[in-house]
Amino acid sequence: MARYLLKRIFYMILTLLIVATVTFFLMKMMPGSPYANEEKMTAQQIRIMNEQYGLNKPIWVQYLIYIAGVFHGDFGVSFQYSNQPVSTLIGSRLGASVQLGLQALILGVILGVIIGAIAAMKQGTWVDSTATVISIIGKSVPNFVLAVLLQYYIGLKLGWFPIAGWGSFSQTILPTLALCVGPLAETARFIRTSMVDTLSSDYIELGRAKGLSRTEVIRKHALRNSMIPLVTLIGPYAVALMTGSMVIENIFNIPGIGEQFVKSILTNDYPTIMGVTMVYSIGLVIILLITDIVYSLIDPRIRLAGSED
Amino acid sequence: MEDNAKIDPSLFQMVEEDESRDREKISGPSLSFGQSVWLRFKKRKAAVISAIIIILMIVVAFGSTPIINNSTLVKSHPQYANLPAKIPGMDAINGLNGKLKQDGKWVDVYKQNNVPSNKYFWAGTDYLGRSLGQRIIYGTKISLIVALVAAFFDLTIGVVYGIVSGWKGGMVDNVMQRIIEIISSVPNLVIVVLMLVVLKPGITSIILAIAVSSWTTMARQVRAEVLSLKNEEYVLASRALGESPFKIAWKHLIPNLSSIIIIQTMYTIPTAIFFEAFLSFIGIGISAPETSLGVLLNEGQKNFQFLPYQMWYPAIVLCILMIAFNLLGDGLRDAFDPRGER
Repeated sequence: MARYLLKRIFYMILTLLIVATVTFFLMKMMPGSPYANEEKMTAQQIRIMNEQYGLNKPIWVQYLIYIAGVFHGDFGVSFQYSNQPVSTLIGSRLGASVQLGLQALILGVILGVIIGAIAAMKQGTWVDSTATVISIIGKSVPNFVLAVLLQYYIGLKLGWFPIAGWGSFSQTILPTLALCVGPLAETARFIRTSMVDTLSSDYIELGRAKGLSRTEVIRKHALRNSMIPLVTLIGPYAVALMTGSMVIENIFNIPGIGEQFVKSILTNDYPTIMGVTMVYSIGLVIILLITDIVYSLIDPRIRLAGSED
Repeated sequence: MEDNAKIDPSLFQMVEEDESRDREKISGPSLSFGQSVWLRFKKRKAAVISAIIIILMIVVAFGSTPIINNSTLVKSHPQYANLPAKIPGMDAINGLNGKLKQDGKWVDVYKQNNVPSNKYFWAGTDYLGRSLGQRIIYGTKISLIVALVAAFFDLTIGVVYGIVSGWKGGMVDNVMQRIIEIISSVPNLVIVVLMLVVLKPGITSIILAIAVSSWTTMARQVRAEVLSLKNEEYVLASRALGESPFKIAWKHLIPNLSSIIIIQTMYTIPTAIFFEAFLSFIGIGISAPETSLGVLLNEGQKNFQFLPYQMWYPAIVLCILMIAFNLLGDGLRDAFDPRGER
């Protein structure tokens, strides 16, 4: 276990190093200068600015400075946001994104488990078909389309929840709904398949033969065992939520890192783009590692030390 | 010995035909793999309907090429700006008869703007007076092109990578898997966005960006399958006979991988369509005056409060496209892999 962990952490650092390197050089290849949307500046001013941001040094020096900084959690200084350090910028916005992501994840998984379990129990009936339709639609309708519709019909027309902004809990409801549909659909499908499998296994039959009630068998045996493989979906969920946050935060005007990412792309703010990319990658790599560990703890049949094949 | 050869034929007796012999007869024609897949696929009505919808969309989108092209689409007609849908013979249905709800009342916008009464826009017009219907068809074509090219890269890079990695094994496999691990520990979207930032925004860049990031799942699945296939006896026999690895891959591995490949491709396609719409929607993909479903959604969203049809129509087309590909993918998976059928 310890050896495996060390190996994994080594690969994690290697991965992040490569990601940092690739993004750094990609940003250097980027067309347009960070000053493009400033007013006209004199050559003198540009020279001073270049010096201030270290852009006049040879590229490999800039690279080493950047990598050294990343290991200290220093992603440089934003070009656009009045010289704020990128780490402060991201730090101040991380909370909103994480809160939104967690709320959507929890709501989506709970609803998904309920829908999937009911579908499996009523297999082959109209309930099952309805659940299938819900999960297909949830998987197919892009969340940004849904977000706009929710914002207009529920937020503006019905006036149930605030249409945008961030701060109070009621403002989080619409974006959470829009974002949770992806995990919901995925979970419902997954739980249904997994539960149909479990329901036909011997120990369920034994439970029924022992005289346990149907609900008790499902609650105590079927559902619990069907939910174990759900852990493997945490990685894909994280990716979907990160992707979703970029557009949902934009639509609902939420000060999170997704919104920041889009903004910094549109303004050629290299240090912020690189910083957010690193934060996304670090988050995903850590989540994937935790997933593996948690999975091996829940299900002892899966041994970490063995090769993954 | 010789005496034994003279046996009276009358001693023999015909065995009576009974049920037990009938039971062993094979009734029905023996089906090839393709035929049984087709039989199972036909039973899935949703998948068949989806396939028909997709074919129709492909025919309409690509068949429109001579009529609807970029140069006709960028021309603006300010006198026709923001007209709602008007379809001949639909005079009774509000929303399809050129009327628009303004302050709670249905107003004939065509009359208001003095549009000639024989002018019909089946899906209305946008803020520059361009036909929304034409733009949606063109946008669908872009989405389909993105989807098909992404599928192509999945098939080439993904499959070849997977086969090489699984077949070679050892150090090569190890390195190739680490590379995949690194690529997939960055969210695809971030890779796509970074590529778009570097390349000039446009359809070529979007396709390239999606291609770079979409093949890893395919490569992983193909590799896993090749790992088990390469120990099969027929592959071993082929190797023993001195067949070249290319020929083994082509003749033995790919046919056995075909179901995995087809299913995975069907899942890549909706993802690619989503990415294109997503990127264009947030403004870093295809941008005006070019047209795609994402661009239309982006423009429609701005006026959604007053001209809801400008977002609804492209949204509906996009959703139908996504649902159809997802259902087709599910249907094909069940057809190729009956074990999953329940």
